[in-house]
Amino acid sequence: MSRALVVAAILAAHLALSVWLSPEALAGYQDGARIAWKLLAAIACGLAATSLRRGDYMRSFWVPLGVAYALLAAAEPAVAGVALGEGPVRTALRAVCLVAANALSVLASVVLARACRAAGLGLASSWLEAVAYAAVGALSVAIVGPPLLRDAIDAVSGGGAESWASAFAGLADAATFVLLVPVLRFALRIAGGRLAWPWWAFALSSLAWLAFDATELAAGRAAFASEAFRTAACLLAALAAVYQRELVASAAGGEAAPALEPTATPLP
Amino acid sequence: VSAPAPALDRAARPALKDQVEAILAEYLGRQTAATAVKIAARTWLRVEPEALTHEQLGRLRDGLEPMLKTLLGAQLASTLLERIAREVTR
Repeated sequence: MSRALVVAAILAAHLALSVWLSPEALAGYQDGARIAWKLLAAIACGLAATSLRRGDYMRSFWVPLGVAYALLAAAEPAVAGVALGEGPVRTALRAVCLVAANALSVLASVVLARACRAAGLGLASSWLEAVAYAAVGALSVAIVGPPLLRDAIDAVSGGGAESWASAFAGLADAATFVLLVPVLRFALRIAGGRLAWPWWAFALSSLAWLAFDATELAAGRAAFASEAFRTAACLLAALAAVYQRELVASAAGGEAAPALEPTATPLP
Repeated sequence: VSAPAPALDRAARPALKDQVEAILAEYLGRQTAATAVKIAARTWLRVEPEALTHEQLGRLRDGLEPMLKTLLGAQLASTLLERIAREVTR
């Protein structure tokens, strides 16, 4: 829980600073912060992956997620601009980074969504699950649909690589949100166990990205909320990775008291 | 001092299924721990979890291993299985 409080404090400090800074300083600060949060998430995911052994199933979740965040950091205009300058090569490479990042984040979500079944603990289908899929699907279409349509029209009418990348990102976001249904379902099933912490943190991170996409519909009128949700999404992904690392570390040092040790029963 | 009568001794201890579930629940939560034990018992031993005996503990651990490895990783799975072997009593 203390880790979650640290994340909340960092988010609050970041937003307070964003309000306090002058408009001239704010742009540079937010450019830097965006890169920093994504790199933080990438590094944390990398550390979570290295806490697991080669061949462990969950490693195939943390590796693509970490690489996705690293690519998102590389695709930030400030990074791509410094590294490649202006021009078509920069635009094309940014688009490649964005497409690869989104594809990897969907892959990570698929791996996590399949974890329960891969473990042999497949949950039976229920009407509630069907309703959840329908609701999340409808919400995804409502949030991701309009910008996806705009980007797709831009792309086919010669909008260039960035439009194609944005359109792909919209599709990837929709897929990730729908994949949240099995993730949340299993997260509820493991509630109360230590494994639940990384799962819940990742689910909240995905929900924060969903909220971020929703603020994008306001086209600039919700810039503060947009910044808050984007930062929260990156920090929660990093938090999930920290919880994962602590989970594995508990194997080395967290020997609990013997479970259900019987109490002595006096003989008559 | 004479040893306790076997029937009374057994009555004082939680069922084997409950002991295993309690260890797993720390990581998987109560519901999933119970499901894991039920699936491992039915699939690997063809018995209901309530009927598990201490002699079947090794096979039960074999059944739990793939599930735990998938969800928790090989290192933590191995630690938990060792705890089950060490702490689950007759």
